[in-house]
Amino acid sequence: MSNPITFKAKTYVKGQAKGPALITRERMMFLGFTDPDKGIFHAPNTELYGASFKDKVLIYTSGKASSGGARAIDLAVRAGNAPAAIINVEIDPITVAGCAFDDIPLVQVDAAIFDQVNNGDIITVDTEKGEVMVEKIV
Amino acid sequence: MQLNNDLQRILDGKEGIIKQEALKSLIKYGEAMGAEDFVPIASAHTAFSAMDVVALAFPPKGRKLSQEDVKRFTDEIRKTRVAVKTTINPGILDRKRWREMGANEEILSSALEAVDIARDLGMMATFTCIPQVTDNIPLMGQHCAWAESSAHLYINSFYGARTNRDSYETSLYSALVGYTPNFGMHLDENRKGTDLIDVQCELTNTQDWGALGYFAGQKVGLGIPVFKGINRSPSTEDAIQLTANCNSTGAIPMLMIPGASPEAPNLEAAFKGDKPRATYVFDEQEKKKIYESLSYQPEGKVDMVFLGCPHKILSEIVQIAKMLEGKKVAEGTRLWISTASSIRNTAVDLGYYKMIEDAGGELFADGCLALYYVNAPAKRPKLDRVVSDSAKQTFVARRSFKSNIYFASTPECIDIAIKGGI
Repeated sequence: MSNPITFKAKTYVKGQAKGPALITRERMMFLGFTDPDKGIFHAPNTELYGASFKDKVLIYTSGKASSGGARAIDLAVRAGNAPAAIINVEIDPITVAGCAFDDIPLVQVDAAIFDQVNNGDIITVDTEKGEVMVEKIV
Repeated sequence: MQLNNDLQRILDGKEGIIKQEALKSLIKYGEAMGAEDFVPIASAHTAFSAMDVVALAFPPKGRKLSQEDVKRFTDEIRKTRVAVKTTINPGILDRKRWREMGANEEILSSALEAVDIARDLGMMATFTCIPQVTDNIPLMGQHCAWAESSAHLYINSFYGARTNRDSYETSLYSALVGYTPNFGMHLDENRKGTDLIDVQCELTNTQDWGALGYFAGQKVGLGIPVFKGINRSPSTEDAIQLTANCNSTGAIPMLMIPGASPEAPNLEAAFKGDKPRATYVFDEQEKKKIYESLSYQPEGKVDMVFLGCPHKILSEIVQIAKMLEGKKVAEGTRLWISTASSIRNTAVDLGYYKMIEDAGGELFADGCLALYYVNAPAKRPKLDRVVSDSAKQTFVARRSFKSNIYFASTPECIDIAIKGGI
């Protein structure tokens, strides 16, 4: 394994998390794009269609659209399908609300992360150090 | 975060557990967003079910809320009152025409119980996504806590009121305590343009304004677009479509049309001396692309023509009723028009409801296609082929019902409903 790559991260919701990356440059939200009971993304014509988000570190540009986005995060968490952490490049307050109320670590990083991470890479989010660490799987 | 005496009282539990939990959550949220204090609000707009209030008291970890949980908390909830004028977003059922939309008595009784609880809480159970033009109209400079991605954008942009992109939760909690964390759009320095949209084509009807919003949301993503090159002020109908569609594709807290937005008398003022970080050109070609991306299979039979996302205002209902005069909606096709119950009541009084019904159209209130049928137990009508005059609703129908969709102007939609196809 090569040396891990580290990104500086600004903390919005504190916490420590480690899990496989699920990554897209798209903006997305939980309401309408996810099935909270199955813990999968289910919107057609989106990059993460069919992928499970349970225990994943989700990396995407930002939240968008409906003000029900935080509710949908809560439903997923109550169904036992919480993501391990969320990493965004831009911050939408609706995502912050969802993560803050359900204690899901949320950090902001530079868009350069998209060039360095693939699905399945192991990501550690450490809000005490203000860091995101990437271990490549290949 | 700094708390004044009012808030300290609430945090100490002197106003009951519901408000205490609401404030604790708002402190968590405010700290995450870097707020240093709270600002008193004039109004809130939220989504509501008794579950939402109960959820405050139960940590989420692996715990689904049940009707039992609601019962346990009902007394506590009923003792609580919201602190400010509060309206409610559409729900999962039309309180009068629930049979036609495929709901049963069980769904009806749980919906009516929510209305009762909302009334006890002092909320107005208006169930509309256009409170800003019906029952909750803020003025310039008023701080608010509003959910509904189209409405919070509207009041920032066209009234000069101040709200963040609140979630259902943060707007509800703010309604309960009467304050909201002071950050983002509540502060002068954040109320300025970030991106320029250079409009180089005619906006010939309300749907073109929707297409423009859809484009701006896609391009800007998260930011404040300023529109240049529009040679007339939008009508209320146009402004509703513009804002709704910006936040169908983006996360836009505010937009500015110089000359029409109160905080942007001109282009320079909109950017407060800054340069836009990017410029995007909206021309005939871009406009055509939006219509095409929301229109599949141009010919064939249509199951549902849906008008009213966001809810139609009275002037639109009048227009639709006149277009339908002396005509009949084709067999096998349904024409649904969605509005606020207050507007439907007026349409009944003024005779427009009858004109629409006589032509075979159906005027629904309190919800919309998405809310009646996404994760809701009602039996849904055939939605394989859906036509709408809202870019947002065609996008939602595609995503949620896997419908074949077609986006067109209101007169074109009416024409399709009468022919039964395209």
